[in-house]
Amino acid sequence: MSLKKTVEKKDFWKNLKEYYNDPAVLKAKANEFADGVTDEFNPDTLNTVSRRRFIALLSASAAFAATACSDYQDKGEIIPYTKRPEGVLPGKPNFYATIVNGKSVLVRVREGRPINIEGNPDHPIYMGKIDAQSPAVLLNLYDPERLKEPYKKKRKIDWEKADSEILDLLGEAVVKNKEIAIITDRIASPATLKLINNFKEKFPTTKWYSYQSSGDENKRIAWQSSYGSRNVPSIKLDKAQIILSLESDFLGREGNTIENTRLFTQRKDVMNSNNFNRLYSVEGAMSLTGINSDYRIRLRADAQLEFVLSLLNEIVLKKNVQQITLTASIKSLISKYQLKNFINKYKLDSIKINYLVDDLVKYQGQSIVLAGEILPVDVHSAVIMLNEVLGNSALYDYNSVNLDFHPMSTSDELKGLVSSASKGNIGVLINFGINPIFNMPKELGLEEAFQKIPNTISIVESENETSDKSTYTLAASNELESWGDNYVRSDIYELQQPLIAPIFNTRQKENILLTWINGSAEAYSMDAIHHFVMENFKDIYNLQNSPVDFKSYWYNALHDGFVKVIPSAQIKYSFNQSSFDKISSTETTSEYLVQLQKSYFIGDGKFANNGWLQEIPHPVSKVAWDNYAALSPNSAKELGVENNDYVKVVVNGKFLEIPVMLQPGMADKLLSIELGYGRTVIGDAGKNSGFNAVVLMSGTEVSNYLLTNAAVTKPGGSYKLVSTQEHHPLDDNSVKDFHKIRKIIQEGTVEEYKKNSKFLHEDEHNLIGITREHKYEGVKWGMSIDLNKCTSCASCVTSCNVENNIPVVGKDQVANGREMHWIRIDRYYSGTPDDPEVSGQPMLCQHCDNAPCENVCPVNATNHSPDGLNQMAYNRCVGTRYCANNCPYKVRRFNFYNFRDHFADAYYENELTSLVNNPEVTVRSRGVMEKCTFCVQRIMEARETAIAEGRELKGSDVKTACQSACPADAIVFGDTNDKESKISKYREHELGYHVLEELYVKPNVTYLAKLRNTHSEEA
Amino acid sequence: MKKTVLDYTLKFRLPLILFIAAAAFVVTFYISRAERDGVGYKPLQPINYSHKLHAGEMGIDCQYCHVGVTKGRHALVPSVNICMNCHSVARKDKPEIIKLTKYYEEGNPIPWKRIHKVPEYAYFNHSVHVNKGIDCESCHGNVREMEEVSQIKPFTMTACLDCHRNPQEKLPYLKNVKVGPENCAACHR
Amino acid sequence: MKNKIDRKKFFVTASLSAFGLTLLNNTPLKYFNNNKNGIEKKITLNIHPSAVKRNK
Repeated sequence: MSLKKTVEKKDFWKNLKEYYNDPAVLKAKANEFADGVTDEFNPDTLNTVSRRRFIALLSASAAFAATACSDYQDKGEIIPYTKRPEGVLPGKPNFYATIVNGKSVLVRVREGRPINIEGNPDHPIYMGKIDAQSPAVLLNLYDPERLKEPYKKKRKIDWEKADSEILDLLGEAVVKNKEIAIITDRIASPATLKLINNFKEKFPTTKWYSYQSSGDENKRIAWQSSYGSRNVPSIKLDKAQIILSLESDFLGREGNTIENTRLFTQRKDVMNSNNFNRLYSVEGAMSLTGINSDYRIRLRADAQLEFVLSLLNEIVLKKNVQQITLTASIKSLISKYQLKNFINKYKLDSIKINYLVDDLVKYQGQSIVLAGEILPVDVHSAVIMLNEVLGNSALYDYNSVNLDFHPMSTSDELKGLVSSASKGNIGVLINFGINPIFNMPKELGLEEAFQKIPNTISIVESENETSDKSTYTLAASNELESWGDNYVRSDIYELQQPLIAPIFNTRQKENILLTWINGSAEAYSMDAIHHFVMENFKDIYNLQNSPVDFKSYWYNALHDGFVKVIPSAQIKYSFNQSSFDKISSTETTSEYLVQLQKSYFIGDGKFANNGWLQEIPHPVSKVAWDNYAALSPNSAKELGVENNDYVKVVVNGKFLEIPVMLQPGMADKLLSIELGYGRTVIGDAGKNSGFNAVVLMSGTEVSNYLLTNAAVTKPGGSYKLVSTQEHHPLDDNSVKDFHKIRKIIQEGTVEEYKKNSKFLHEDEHNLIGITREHKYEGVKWGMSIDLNKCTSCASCVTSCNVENNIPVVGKDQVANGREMHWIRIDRYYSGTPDDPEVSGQPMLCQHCDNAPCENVCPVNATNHSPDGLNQMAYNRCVGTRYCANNCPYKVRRFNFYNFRDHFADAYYENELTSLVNNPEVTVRSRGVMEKCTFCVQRIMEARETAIAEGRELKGSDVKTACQSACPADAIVFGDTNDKESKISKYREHELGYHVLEELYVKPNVTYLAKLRNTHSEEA
Repeated sequence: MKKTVLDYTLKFRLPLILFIAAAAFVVTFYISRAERDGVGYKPLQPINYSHKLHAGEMGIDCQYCHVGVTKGRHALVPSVNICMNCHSVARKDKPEIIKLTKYYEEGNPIPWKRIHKVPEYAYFNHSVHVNKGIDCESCHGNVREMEEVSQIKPFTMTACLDCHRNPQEKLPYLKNVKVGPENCAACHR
Repeated sequence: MKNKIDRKKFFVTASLSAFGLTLLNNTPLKYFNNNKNGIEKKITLNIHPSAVKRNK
């Protein structure tokens, strides 16, 4: 029996009557409306305004009200000054000379805001040039995350209250005989030195410690023992025919790189090709100097001492060169080291070494050997000896000596500081503007000792690891808001003046110290430090025998930014050979060596929150926003790591996990890591940026940057490192040497050029166009970049960023290739991964006469001006990006986001950072294309001046930002229609070529081929 | 075929409505053009300053107050201390001058209503025009006769280009005047 | 049966999205910033009267 009941239609019933199909219910179902339901409905009694009508009225009146609210013709207000300050004309820039980042600069100020920093043109050392780091200090001034108020234990405090409390603490410490420790950076300012000495007098239990995470202390110590003075003379690099750099990155980060580059590149002038110098670079890691060398020899830094001693053996004992007579004990010391054995032991290229020895001997007295700052004291002593033996001391400029006011604290002294703190003997610790908890080796134990000091005071510009643990955090003014002086070289005394009154409630750190010296919190005045510096300057004035009165002299000195100091007596050092006897063993190990280097742009970590500097790619690896461990491809293969993989480095019980970047040209079993990254207490820009290598440093030897016997393993995992340039294996045949094949980089050698000066253009053919050529009357702008002089230092990149309001895009966007730099430095490798030849090339908009970008813009936003510039009208651009597609040089940058306002963490969107923008340049919004404009705002400014003076505009009136920054003078810009101008000479030069010339886009940037000064005609 | 409401709408009503709308729009567009370009804008200023009195009757030169006009991009509305050069003494009992002195003494800026404004995507430079000899009146009209300043000429790109392309006609008082720049970067950089 | 668009869902989505877009586009992103340090009130700039200027 089936229980299945077939139901055809679902049947629902609501009540029993319905179930039984009562006819009344059926009738009711048929009539939806029963009779009588609408009887009492009278439409006239309803509200006259229906719901529909009500809403319509509501919206209409709202619309009316909205339109009536504003006057569309209203253009706002125009508000002048009430009392216009003298010398300030809105719209015109003022220039001030001051010191920024230790260098003498000229700052452009608009309506009271500093907006651009360039070199001081009158200064004999800088000559108007600047490096890559200094202009970006502006972003530190306008950093929204800088300290604005003083704090005590994380709560705001008044300056007067803080000062009086601290004065009490200092007094108490003196009474109880507790140490007052003050830790500073290296002081190069005589005024600050006097201030610290006054402080020590006022508070007798003060002990002064000084620390820098990277410095030239080893060199100074060697000079002290060899010559009896820590004042190292400057070197006349332009007189050197042969330069041997032993791990010395003198072009990139050691010494005065601006002067070094300028002097070095003076001997790379194609107009004077007989006078080229030759640079040998012997280094383990690939540095900026290494990529500019004519010959490069890979040697790990721990083998350098043996190398110098072997060279000494070869030169003194074999070639019999001794411009000074050596003692017998020294001769017996060097007789133990044979160069041939050395070459075999380290598998070096004997041909190159022989060239080196021959050159050093041939050009003795006209060459120089430079030892890097990271090398230990013994190597410096050996190099001093080598220079003396070769007579290269003739290149030491005793008229301009690098002064040294105080030695840095030794490891013992720092250990003493930590032990005093642990024992409770320190009453007050003053951190004078640095970050010792981050920068000092963790092994010293400063962080733990910090807790035991009852009162710690940090006087810093922005919160850092040390101020985080300090009792008092006193907000310091930026150096653009400060008075000061600088006496780095013995013949020039530089002055610093503030360009803007402190924006926030900050005080200059020297002024804070002055208040404490003066003994009362009420004694503070913003001008006190001004008078102190001025009074201190009287010492210099009195030496000068000047005919004018002091005030005029002082104002003139502030106007120029410096004064020349005639030294009282001629300095001459006598060489003490006995220091050489202290040279200790030269043993090297077969284990890994870790080399800790100074960062190119981040400093010791103080610029970690500076977006511009974080974004400038590393000159060699082109990595931005992070540091990494550079490793040679052979060693990487051994370890089984690839780019971005982590390695674990263990040195003496200390370990660090850091991602790896393969670096062709590095010595094997060597890891090179830059310091300054991995900051934890830092603003938004610097968070999660890199890895802190200070953890590996030894507490017993604070200026030891070469950590031997490191164990390196692969722990697994990887970290995304972003770089602006592709990383592919060098010997991949599909891309090997493509830059040379496609003639993007054309190079030669000096010998080749001497034999046949037309070698570059020999197999060229004439290009013809099919369109009518434009005629350019008047000025036609063109640029030339001399690749012989360009060292890839990136000064041009920073100054272009500052001048043209280039936004910082952050790590994620750089990973997508969306960095916004209008000029970039491309780096190409050729040769083998072990011994690559590196070529750098600044690439910017070529302003092509037949620009492929111009004819594809659907809205005609980009076109050509009658003076040869490729123009960009931002307000017309709709963001098709067809122009960027067509550009063969890929120099057009697109604003994918509104980097100004609507971007990730609203980095730019605050009241402060927008002050850094140059008002002459449009700040671009989302969806528009931008590119180098040849500094059209400067061209217009020069035109305005020419019209005001009633004359024609000349090509030499305009200096683009990149041109004025370049310390090597590699960039020349001017009027190509003027046949007498410098640019025309470079344009017509035999070594000049255009990149991708065969496309017939007729670019206006001429590159001058690099001539490597090798012994043969082949590179 | 019987005509439906739809036919009637499509043949007469729709075209008629469209025509009326288009005509109304075009007429309004052209008649309001000058006003939309700013011509005739005469806002109320916080202080009743009369150019007719100062520049016209008293003959004070434009550049005495508007100092930036030969030096840079902006002509600059005068700062109050320029007014006080004379008005610390002259007519200091008049109500408008009392208002002015109050602003000066309290150090408050005077919120003048801006009349002439070139849009922000264009960079206009006064000094290159004035230094070539172009008179203030050529663009700003006869300010010497104005009690209240109003904008006389439209400040559209067309108006600028008309003069740039045809300076001999538009500026007859200048001899040897060259054609002004027509390229984008001259103003839109 | 033909697929009819759900009119209500369509208009609700469209109007909410338009509303959301206008809101997001018009509120400055600084209000979403977690870093309370960066948000500023007004800043006054003062020139430094003692600085000595020069021509370029």
